[in-house]
Amino acid sequence: MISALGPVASDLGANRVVRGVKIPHPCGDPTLDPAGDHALRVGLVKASLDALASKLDAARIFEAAR
Amino acid sequence: MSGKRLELRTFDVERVAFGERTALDGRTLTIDRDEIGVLAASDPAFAGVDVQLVRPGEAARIPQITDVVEPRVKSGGPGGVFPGLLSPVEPVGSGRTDRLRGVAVVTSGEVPWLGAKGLFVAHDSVLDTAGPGADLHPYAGLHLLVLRFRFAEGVDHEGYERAILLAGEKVARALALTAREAPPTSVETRELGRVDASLPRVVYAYQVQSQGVFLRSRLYGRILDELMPVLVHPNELADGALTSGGLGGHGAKLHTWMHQNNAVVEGLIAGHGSRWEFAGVVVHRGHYYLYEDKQRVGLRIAESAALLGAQGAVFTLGGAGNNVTEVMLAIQECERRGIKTVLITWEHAGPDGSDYPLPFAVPEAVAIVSTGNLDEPLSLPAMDRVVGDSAIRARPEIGGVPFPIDRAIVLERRTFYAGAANPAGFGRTGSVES
Repeated sequence: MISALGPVASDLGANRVVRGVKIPHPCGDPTLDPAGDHALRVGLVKASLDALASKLDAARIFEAAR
Repeated sequence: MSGKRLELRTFDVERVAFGERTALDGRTLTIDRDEIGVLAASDPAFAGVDVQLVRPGEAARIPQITDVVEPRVKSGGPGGVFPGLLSPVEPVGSGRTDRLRGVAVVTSGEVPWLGAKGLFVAHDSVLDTAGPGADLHPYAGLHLLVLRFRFAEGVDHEGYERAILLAGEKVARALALTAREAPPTSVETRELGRVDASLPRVVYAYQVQSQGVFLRSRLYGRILDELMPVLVHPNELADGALTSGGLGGHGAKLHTWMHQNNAVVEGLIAGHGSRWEFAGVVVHRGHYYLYEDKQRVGLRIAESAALLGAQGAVFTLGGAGNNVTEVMLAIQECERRGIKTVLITWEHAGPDGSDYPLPFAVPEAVAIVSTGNLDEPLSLPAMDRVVGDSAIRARPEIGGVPFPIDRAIVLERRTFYAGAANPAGFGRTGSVES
Protein backbone atom coordinates (compact mmCIF):
# COMPACT_ATOMS: atom_id res chain seq x y z
CA MET A 1 0.00 0.00 0.00
CA ILE A 2 1.34 3.44 -0.92
CA SER A 3 0.24 5.91 1.77
CA ALA A 4 1.30 9.35 2.94
CA LEU A 5 0.40 8.24 6.46
CA GLY A 6 2.61 5.14 6.72
CA PRO A 7 1.99 4.40 10.41
CA VAL A 8 -1.77 4.83 9.90
CA ALA A 9 -1.73 2.31 7.05
CA SER A 10 0.19 -0.27 9.06
CA ASP A 11 -2.06 0.42 12.07
CA LEU A 12 -5.01 -0.57 9.89
CA GLY A 13 -3.39 -3.88 8.93
CA ALA A 14 -1.32 -3.22 5.77
CA ASN A 15 1.91 -5.29 6.04
CA ARG A 16 3.84 -3.70 3.19
CA VAL A 17 3.54 0.05 3.22
CA VAL A 18 5.47 2.40 0.95
CA ARG A 19 5.68 5.94 2.23
CA GLY A 20 3.84 8.27 -0.18
CA VAL A 21 4.33 12.01 -0.63
CA LYS A 22 1.34 13.87 0.87
CA ILE A 23 -2.28 13.03 1.65
CA PRO A 24 -3.73 14.83 -1.42
CA HIS A 25 -1.06 13.43 -3.78
CA PRO A 26 0.54 10.23 -2.40
CA CYS A 27 1.97 9.10 -5.77
CA GLY A 28 3.39 12.34 -7.12
CA ASP A 29 4.42 15.89 -6.31
CA PRO A 30 2.86 18.80 -8.24
CA THR A 31 5.60 21.13 -7.00
CA LEU A 32 8.23 19.23 -9.07
CA ASP A 33 8.90 19.67 -12.77
CA PRO A 34 7.65 16.82 -15.02
CA ALA A 35 11.04 15.06 -15.05
CA GLY A 36 11.39 15.23 -11.27
CA ASP A 37 7.84 14.03 -10.77
CA HIS A 38 8.47 11.11 -13.15
CA ALA A 39 11.62 10.12 -11.28
CA LEU A 40 9.72 10.24 -8.00
CA ARG A 41 6.97 8.01 -9.41
CA VAL A 42 9.49 5.51 -10.74
CA GLY A 43 11.07 5.41 -7.28
CA LEU A 44 7.69 4.69 -5.69
CA VAL A 45 6.98 1.85 -8.11
CA LYS A 46 10.46 0.34 -7.54
CA ALA A 47 10.02 0.57 -3.77
CA SER A 48 6.60 -1.09 -4.12
CA LEU A 49 8.11 -3.97 -6.15
CA ASP A 50 10.87 -4.32 -3.56
CA ALA A 51 8.22 -4.41 -0.84
CA LEU A 52 6.27 -7.13 -2.64
CA ALA A 53 9.44 -9.19 -3.09
CA SER A 54 10.48 -8.86 0.58
CA LYS A 55 9.88 -11.62 3.08
CA LEU A 56 8.44 -10.11 6.26
CA ASP A 57 8.08 -11.25 9.86
CA ALA A 58 6.21 -8.08 10.83
CA ALA A 59 4.61 -5.07 9.15
CA ARG A 60 7.16 -2.71 7.64
CA ILE A 61 7.18 0.78 6.10
CA PHE A 62 9.38 1.06 2.99
CA GLU A 63 10.92 4.36 1.92
CA ALA A 64 11.32 5.10 -1.78
CA ALA A 65 14.69 6.46 -2.91
CA ARG A 66 14.31 10.22 -3.47
CA MET B 1 0.88 30.44 34.74
CA SER B 2 -0.53 33.64 36.21
CA GLY B 3 -0.66 37.35 35.60
CA LYS B 4 -4.00 37.76 33.87
CA ARG B 5 -7.02 38.69 35.97
CA LEU B 6 -10.37 38.99 34.21
CA GLU B 7 -13.60 40.20 35.75
CA LEU B 8 -16.30 38.47 33.71
CA ARG B 9 -19.68 40.16 34.20
CA THR B 10 -22.67 38.09 33.09
CA PHE B 11 -25.98 39.71 32.13
CA ASP B 12 -28.76 37.15 31.81
CA VAL B 13 -31.19 37.75 28.96
CA GLU B 14 -34.58 36.06 29.26
CA ARG B 15 -36.66 37.97 26.70
CA VAL B 16 -35.63 39.28 23.29
CA ALA B 17 -37.84 41.32 20.96
CA PHE B 18 -37.47 43.69 18.04
CA GLY B 19 -38.17 47.31 19.00
CA GLU B 20 -37.28 50.94 18.36
CA ARG B 21 -33.93 50.99 20.14
CA THR B 22 -31.26 48.39 20.85
CA ALA B 23 -31.20 48.33 24.64
CA LEU B 24 -31.13 46.05 27.68
CA ASP B 25 -33.81 46.70 30.30
CA GLY B 26 -33.46 44.28 33.20
CA ARG B 27 -33.44 40.90 31.49
CA THR B 28 -35.24 42.09 28.35
CA LEU B 29 -33.14 42.81 25.28
CA THR B 30 -34.75 44.98 22.62
CA ILE B 31 -33.14 44.99 19.19
CA ASP B 32 -33.53 47.72 16.55
CA ARG B 33 -33.82 45.40 13.56
CA ASP B 34 -32.96 48.03 10.94
CA GLU B 35 -29.93 49.30 12.85
CA ILE B 36 -28.57 45.77 13.29
CA GLY B 37 -29.26 44.99 9.61
CA VAL B 38 -27.30 48.05 8.47
CA LEU B 39 -24.40 47.21 10.81
CA ALA B 40 -24.36 43.55 9.72
CA ALA B 41 -24.51 44.11 5.96
CA SER B 42 -22.11 47.07 5.69
CA ASP B 43 -19.37 45.02 3.99
CA PRO B 44 -19.37 45.22 0.16
CA ALA B 45 -19.32 41.39 0.10
CA PHE B 46 -23.02 41.50 1.00
CA ALA B 47 -26.05 42.37 -1.13
CA GLY B 48 -28.25 42.46 1.97
CA VAL B 49 -29.27 40.68 5.15
CA ASP B 50 -32.45 39.30 6.66
CA VAL B 51 -32.56 39.59 10.47
CA GLN B 52 -34.70 37.03 12.31
CA LEU B 53 -35.24 35.93 15.90
CA VAL B 54 -35.62 32.31 17.01
CA ARG B 55 -36.98 31.73 20.51
CA PRO B 56 -35.56 29.08 22.89
CA GLY B 57 -37.07 25.71 22.05
CA GLU B 58 -39.00 27.02 19.05
CA ALA B 59 -39.48 24.34 16.36
CA ALA B 60 -37.18 26.05 13.88
CA ARG B 61 -34.60 24.79 11.38
CA ILE B 62 -31.74 27.16 10.61
CA PRO B 63 -29.90 26.31 7.38
CA GLN B 64 -26.42 27.20 6.11
CA ILE B 65 -24.86 28.33 9.37
CA THR B 66 -21.39 29.83 9.25
CA ASP B 67 -20.83 30.79 12.88
CA VAL B 68 -22.40 31.35 16.29
CA VAL B 69 -21.11 34.17 18.52
CA GLU B 70 -21.91 35.14 22.12
CA PRO B 71 -22.34 38.90 22.64
CA ARG B 72 -19.31 40.19 24.56
CA VAL B 73 -17.53 43.51 24.94
CA LYS B 74 -14.65 44.86 27.03
CA SER B 75 -15.80 47.40 29.62
CA GLY B 76 -12.39 47.83 31.24
CA GLY B 77 -8.75 46.98 30.85
CA PRO B 78 -6.56 46.65 27.77
CA GLY B 79 -7.67 45.62 24.32
CA GLY B 80 -11.04 44.85 22.81
CA VAL B 81 -13.00 41.71 21.96
CA PHE B 82 -11.95 39.80 18.85
CA PRO B 83 -8.47 41.34 18.78
CA GLY B 84 -6.80 41.50 15.39
CA LEU B 85 -10.19 41.52 13.67
CA LEU B 86 -12.60 44.01 15.30
CA SER B 87 -10.06 45.46 17.74
CA PRO B 88 -6.35 46.27 17.50
CA VAL B 89 -3.77 43.58 18.22
CA GLU B 90 -3.45 44.11 21.95
CA PRO B 91 -3.29 41.45 24.66
CA VAL B 92 -6.75 40.50 25.96
CA GLY B 93 -7.89 38.40 28.90
CA SER B 94 -7.49 40.93 31.71
CA GLY B 95 -9.56 43.86 32.93
CA ARG B 96 -13.32 43.53 32.60
CA THR B 97 -15.57 41.85 30.04
CA ASP B 98 -19.38 42.01 29.78
CA ARG B 99 -21.30 39.12 28.27
CA LEU B 100 -24.97 38.59 27.48
CA ARG B 101 -25.96 35.05 28.47
CA GLY B 102 -29.05 33.50 26.90
CA VAL B 103 -28.68 35.09 23.48
CA ALA B 104 -26.38 34.37 20.54
CA VAL B 105 -25.76 35.74 17.07
CA VAL B 106 -25.99 33.20 14.25
CA THR B 107 -24.54 34.04 10.83
CA SER B 108 -25.87 32.15 7.83
CA GLY B 109 -26.57 32.28 4.13
CA GLU B 110 -26.02 30.54 0.83
CA VAL B 111 -22.45 31.38 -0.14
CA PRO B 112 -22.04 31.26 -3.96
CA TRP B 113 -20.37 28.11 -5.26
CA LEU B 114 -17.94 29.83 -7.72
CA GLY B 115 -16.93 26.44 -9.17
CA ALA B 116 -14.93 25.38 -6.10
CA LYS B 117 -13.82 21.74 -5.78
CA GLY B 118 -12.60 19.38 -3.09
CA LEU B 119 -12.60 20.25 0.59
CA PHE B 120 -12.73 24.00 0.14
CA VAL B 121 -16.32 24.29 -1.00
CA ALA B 122 -19.10 26.11 0.85
CA HIS B 123 -20.78 23.13 2.54
CA ASP B 124 -24.37 23.67 3.64
CA SER B 125 -25.79 22.51 6.94
CA VAL B 126 -28.87 22.64 9.14
CA LEU B 127 -29.45 23.12 12.86
CA ASP B 128 -32.77 22.44 14.66
CA THR B 129 -33.81 24.19 17.85
CA ALA B 130 -36.37 21.53 18.87
CA GLY B 131 -36.77 17.77 18.56
CA PRO B 132 -33.94 15.21 18.63
CA GLY B 133 -31.54 17.60 16.83
CA ALA B 134 -31.75 20.11 19.66
CA ASP B 135 -29.77 17.82 21.97
CA LEU B 136 -26.76 17.78 19.66
CA HIS B 137 -25.60 21.39 20.14
CA PRO B 138 -25.61 23.99 22.94
CA TYR B 139 -27.82 26.60 21.25
CA ALA B 140 -31.43 25.34 21.51
CA GLY B 141 -31.96 26.99 24.89
CA LEU B 142 -30.83 30.42 23.67
CA HIS B 143 -32.52 33.31 21.90
CA LEU B 144 -30.88 33.26 18.47
CA LEU B 145 -30.51 36.39 16.38
CA VAL B 146 -30.13 34.90 12.91
CA LEU B 147 -28.40 37.02 10.27
CA ARG B 148 -29.10 35.51 6.86
CA PHE B 149 -26.87 37.18 4.29
CA ARG B 150 -27.33 37.63 0.58
CA PHE B 151 -24.02 37.88 -1.24
CA ALA B 152 -22.75 40.44 -3.73
CA GLU B 153 -21.08 39.30 -6.94
CA GLY B 154 -17.42 39.86 -7.71
CA VAL B 155 -16.09 38.69 -4.32
CA ASP B 156 -14.00 35.53 -3.81
CA HIS B 157 -14.48 32.94 -1.07
CA GLU B 158 -11.77 34.46 1.13
CA GLY B 159 -13.68 37.75 0.97
CA TYR B 160 -17.01 36.14 1.85
CA GLU B 161 -15.48 34.20 4.73
CA ARG B 162 -13.89 37.27 6.26
CA ALA B 163 -16.98 39.46 5.78
CA ILE B 164 -19.28 36.91 7.46
CA LEU B 165 -16.86 36.46 10.36
CA LEU B 166 -16.55 40.20 10.98
CA ALA B 167 -20.31 40.78 10.66
CA GLY B 168 -21.13 38.22 13.36
CA GLU B 169 -18.53 39.73 15.67
CA LYS B 170 -19.67 43.32 15.04
CA VAL B 171 -23.30 42.50 15.83
CA ALA B 172 -22.30 40.47 18.90
CA ARG B 173 -20.25 43.39 20.23
CA ALA B 174 -23.06 45.86 19.51
CA LEU B 175 -25.55 43.76 21.48
CA ALA B 176 -23.13 43.42 24.41
CA LEU B 177 -22.66 47.21 24.53
CA THR B 178 -26.24 47.45 25.86
CA ALA B 179 -25.02 45.98 29.15
CA ARG B 180 -22.93 49.04 30.11
CA GLU B 181 -25.55 50.72 32.32
CA ALA B 182 -27.30 47.61 33.66
CA PRO B 183 -26.53 45.66 36.85
CA PRO B 184 -24.92 42.28 36.11
CA THR B 185 -26.58 39.01 37.11
CA SER B 186 -23.25 37.68 38.33
CA VAL B 187 -19.59 38.63 38.40
CA GLU B 188 -16.78 36.11 38.30
CA THR B 189 -13.07 36.81 38.63
CA ARG B 190 -10.89 34.56 36.56
CA GLU B 191 -7.20 34.16 37.11
CA LEU B 192 -4.83 31.24 37.23
CA GLY B 193 -3.39 32.18 40.60
CA ARG B 194 -0.85 30.27 42.67
CA VAL B 195 -2.15 27.04 44.12
CA ASP B 196 -1.03 24.29 46.49
CA ALA B 197 2.11 22.84 44.89
CA SER B 198 0.91 19.29 45.58
CA LEU B 199 -1.94 19.62 43.08
CA PRO B 200 -1.32 18.09 39.64
CA ARG B 201 -0.73 20.48 36.75
CA VAL B 202 -3.00 20.02 33.77
CA VAL B 203 -2.84 21.51 30.27
CA TYR B 204 -5.57 21.54 27.67
CA ALA B 205 -4.40 20.64 24.15
CA TYR B 206 -7.08 22.33 22.07
CA GLN B 207 -7.16 21.29 18.43
CA VAL B 208 -8.86 23.68 16.03
CA GLN B 209 -9.61 23.28 12.36
CA SER B 210 -7.67 25.50 9.97
CA GLN B 211 -6.90 23.97 6.62
CA GLY B 212 -8.07 26.57 4.14
CA VAL B 213 -11.03 28.70 3.24
CA PHE B 214 -14.29 27.71 5.04
CA LEU B 215 -12.35 25.37 7.36
CA ARG B 216 -10.62 28.05 9.35
CA SER B 217 -9.72 29.44 12.72
CA ARG B 218 -7.96 32.67 13.59
CA LEU B 219 -5.90 33.67 16.64
CA TYR B 220 -5.64 37.43 17.22
CA GLY B 221 -6.95 37.67 13.67
CA ARG B 222 -4.21 35.58 12.15
CA ILE B 223 -5.23 32.60 10.02
CA LEU B 224 -3.95 29.39 11.61
CA ASP B 225 -3.48 27.30 8.45
CA GLU B 226 0.28 26.99 9.14
CA LEU B 227 0.02 26.91 12.93
CA MET B 228 2.52 25.10 15.10
CA PRO B 229 1.17 24.54 18.66
CA VAL B 230 1.00 27.79 20.62
CA LEU B 231 0.38 28.51 24.30
CA VAL B 232 -2.69 30.62 25.16
CA HIS B 233 -4.22 31.80 28.45
CA PRO B 234 -7.85 30.68 28.90
CA ASN B 235 -8.89 34.30 29.56
CA GLU B 236 -7.78 35.18 26.04
CA LEU B 237 -10.33 32.70 24.71
CA ALA B 238 -13.01 34.41 26.84
CA ASP B 239 -12.27 37.69 25.03
CA GLY B 240 -12.51 36.21 21.54
CA ALA B 241 -8.80 35.84 20.73
CA LEU B 242 -9.72 32.58 18.95
CA THR B 243 -12.45 32.75 16.32
CA SER B 244 -14.02 30.35 13.89
CA GLY B 245 -16.34 30.70 10.96
CA GLY B 246 -16.83 29.11 7.61
CA LEU B 247 -18.96 26.62 5.81
CA GLY B 248 -17.40 23.18 6.19
CA GLY B 249 -17.01 20.27 8.57
CA HIS B 250 -20.25 21.20 10.31
CA GLY B 251 -20.67 18.00 12.32
CA ALA B 252 -17.37 18.57 14.09
CA LYS B 253 -17.23 22.34 13.83
CA LEU B 254 -16.14 24.55 16.72
CA HIS B 255 -18.04 27.83 16.42
CA THR B 256 -16.66 31.03 17.94
CA TRP B 257 -19.30 30.58 20.70
CA MET B 258 -17.59 27.30 21.62
CA HIS B 259 -14.19 29.00 21.86
CA GLN B 260 -15.75 31.69 24.08
CA ASN B 261 -17.50 29.07 26.26
CA ASN B 262 -15.32 25.98 25.80
CA ALA B 263 -16.66 23.34 28.19
CA VAL B 264 -13.24 21.84 28.92
CA VAL B 265 -11.81 25.29 29.74
CA GLU B 266 -14.79 26.01 32.01
CA GLY B 267 -14.27 22.70 33.81
CA LEU B 268 -10.53 23.18 34.21
CA ILE B 269 -11.05 26.73 35.56
CA ALA B 270 -13.70 25.47 38.00
CA GLY B 271 -11.27 22.92 39.45
CA HIS B 272 -8.21 25.24 39.46
CA GLY B 273 -6.83 25.43 43.00
CA SER B 274 -9.01 22.66 44.42
CA ARG B 275 -8.44 19.64 42.17
CA TRP B 276 -5.58 20.67 39.90
CA GLU B 277 -3.57 23.61 38.64
CA PHE B 278 -4.75 24.66 35.18
CA ALA B 279 -1.46 25.40 33.45
CA GLY B 280 -2.78 26.79 30.16
CA VAL B 281 -4.15 25.98 26.71
CA VAL B 282 -2.04 24.71 23.81
CA VAL B 283 -3.89 25.62 20.61
CA HIS B 284 -2.94 23.55 17.59
CA ARG B 285 -4.30 22.46 14.23
CA GLY B 286 -4.57 18.97 12.77
CA HIS B 287 -5.09 17.57 9.29
CA TYR B 288 -1.59 18.35 8.03
CA TYR B 289 -0.90 16.65 4.71
CA LEU B 290 2.64 15.57 5.60
CA TYR B 291 3.26 12.86 8.19
CA GLU B 292 6.35 14.71 9.44
CA ASP B 293 4.17 17.79 10.13
CA LYS B 294 1.86 15.63 12.21
CA GLN B 295 4.92 14.44 14.16
CA ARG B 296 6.08 18.06 14.60
CA VAL B 297 2.68 19.00 16.06
CA GLY B 298 2.70 16.01 18.40
CA LEU B 299 6.23 16.82 19.58
CA ARG B 300 5.55 20.51 20.15
CA ILE B 301 2.42 19.80 22.20
CA ALA B 302 4.31 17.34 24.41
CA GLU B 303 7.33 19.66 24.72
CA SER B 304 5.05 22.57 25.68
CA ALA B 305 3.26 20.46 28.28
CA ALA B 306 6.58 19.25 29.70
CA LEU B 307 7.96 22.81 29.84
CA LEU B 308 4.87 23.85 31.83
CA GLY B 309 5.58 21.01 34.27
CA ALA B 310 2.28 19.32 33.40
CA GLN B 311 1.35 15.97 34.85
CA GLY B 312 -1.83 15.68 32.83
CA ALA B 313 -3.17 16.77 29.44
CA VAL B 314 -6.73 16.88 28.10
CA PHE B 315 -7.22 16.62 24.32
CA THR B 316 -10.18 17.49 22.11
CA LEU B 317 -10.49 17.39 18.33
CA GLY B 318 -11.19 20.15 15.84
CA GLY B 319 -12.67 18.71 12.68
CA ALA B 320 -12.83 15.08 11.63
CA GLY B 321 -10.79 12.52 9.72
CA ASN B 322 -6.99 12.31 9.80
CA ASN B 323 -6.71 15.19 12.30
CA VAL B 324 -6.81 12.50 14.97
CA THR B 325 -3.28 11.51 13.89
CA GLU B 326 -1.67 14.66 15.32
CA VAL B 327 -3.54 14.17 18.58
CA MET B 328 -2.59 10.50 18.85
CA LEU B 329 1.09 11.30 18.22
CA ALA B 330 0.89 14.05 20.87
CA ILE B 331 -0.68 11.60 23.33
CA GLN B 332 2.16 9.17 22.67
CA GLU B 333 4.80 11.86 23.17
CA CYS B 334 3.11 13.08 26.38
CA GLU B 335 2.81 9.59 27.86
CA ARG B 336 6.49 8.92 27.06
CA ARG B 337 7.30 12.00 29.13
CA GLY B 338 5.17 10.74 32.01
CA ILE B 339 2.29 13.12 31.31
CA LYS B 340 -1.05 11.31 31.67
CA THR B 341 -3.58 11.99 28.92
CA VAL B 342 -7.30 11.86 28.26
CA LEU B 343 -8.96 12.33 24.87
CA ILE B 344 -12.51 13.53 24.22
CA THR B 345 -13.50 12.45 20.70
CA TRP B 346 -16.21 11.58 18.19
CA GLU B 347 -16.21 8.14 16.59
CA HIS B 348 -16.09 7.24 12.88
CA ALA B 349 -17.81 3.97 13.70
CA GLY B 350 -19.89 3.41 10.55
CA PRO B 351 -23.69 3.71 10.26
CA ASP B 352 -24.41 1.01 12.86
CA GLY B 353 -21.54 1.85 15.21
CA SER B 354 -19.64 -1.42 14.74
CA ASP B 355 -16.62 -0.19 12.75
CA TYR B 356 -13.16 0.57 14.15
CA PRO B 357 -13.95 4.01 15.60
CA LEU B 358 -10.80 6.05 14.98
CA PRO B 359 -8.71 6.35 11.81
CA PHE B 360 -5.53 6.07 13.89
CA ALA B 361 -4.67 5.19 17.47
CA VAL B 362 -1.60 4.58 19.61
CA PRO B 363 -1.37 2.01 22.43
CA GLU B 364 -0.66 4.84 24.91
CA ALA B 365 -4.18 6.29 24.38
CA VAL B 366 -5.94 4.39 27.12
CA ALA B 367 -8.32 7.05 28.50
CA ILE B 368 -10.83 8.09 25.84
CA VAL B 369 -14.25 9.72 26.28
CA SER B 370 -16.62 9.20 23.34
CA THR B 371 -19.06 11.93 22.36
CA GLY B 372 -20.90 9.68 19.92
CA ASN B 373 -20.83 8.39 16.39
CA LEU B 374 -20.36 10.89 13.58
CA ASP B 375 -21.43 8.29 10.99
CA GLU B 376 -24.84 7.39 12.44
CA PRO B 377 -27.71 8.60 10.23
CA LEU B 378 -29.81 11.34 11.77
CA SER B 379 -33.61 11.42 11.34
CA LEU B 380 -35.15 14.81 12.02
CA PRO B 381 -38.86 15.64 12.01
CA ALA B 382 -40.32 18.60 10.14
CA MET B 383 -39.93 21.94 11.94
CA ASP B 384 -42.68 24.62 12.03
CA ARG B 385 -40.37 27.20 10.54
CA VAL B 386 -37.31 27.27 8.26
CA VAL B 387 -35.18 30.38 8.84
CA GLY B 388 -33.98 30.55 5.25
CA ASP B 389 -34.67 28.79 1.97
CA SER B 390 -36.67 25.56 1.75
CA ALA B 391 -33.70 23.59 0.39
CA ILE B 392 -29.95 23.35 0.96
CA ARG B 393 -27.29 22.13 -1.45
CA ALA B 394 -26.21 18.51 -1.22
CA ARG B 395 -23.10 17.55 -3.22
CA PRO B 396 -21.65 21.07 -3.24
CA GLU B 397 -18.60 19.94 -5.23
CA ILE B 398 -20.76 19.78 -8.37
CA GLY B 399 -22.53 23.05 -7.63
CA GLY B 400 -25.22 21.57 -5.40
CA VAL B 401 -28.21 19.29 -5.74
CA PRO B 402 -31.30 20.69 -3.97
CA PHE B 403 -32.04 18.86 -0.70
CA PRO B 404 -35.44 19.96 0.68
CA ILE B 405 -35.48 20.74 4.39
CA ASP B 406 -39.06 22.03 4.84
CA ARG B 407 -40.16 18.50 5.87
CA ALA B 408 -38.89 15.50 7.83
CA ILE B 409 -35.35 14.72 6.71
CA VAL B 410 -32.77 11.95 7.07
CA LEU B 411 -29.12 12.98 7.05
CA GLU B 412 -27.10 9.94 6.06
CA ARG B 413 -24.03 11.40 7.68
CA ARG B 414 -23.94 13.93 10.47
CA THR B 415 -21.45 16.20 8.76
CA PHE B 416 -24.43 18.25 7.49
CA TYR B 417 -25.67 18.89 11.01
CA ALA B 418 -24.02 21.74 12.94
CA GLY B 419 -22.43 20.52 16.16
CA ALA B 420 -23.54 16.89 15.73
CA ALA B 421 -20.23 15.36 16.79
CA ASN B 422 -20.19 17.40 19.95
CA PRO B 423 -16.54 18.29 19.36
CA ALA B 424 -15.58 19.67 22.75
CA GLY B 425 -18.08 17.88 24.96
CA PHE B 426 -20.95 20.36 24.77
CA GLY B 427 -23.97 18.22 23.94
CA ARG B 428 -25.49 15.31 25.75
CA THR B 429 -24.33 12.57 23.40
CA GLY B 430 -22.08 9.60 24.03
CA SER B 431 -21.88 5.92 23.24
CA VAL B 432 -22.51 2.60 24.99
CA GLU B 433 -20.43 -0.55 24.57
CA SER B 434 -22.32 -3.53 23.23
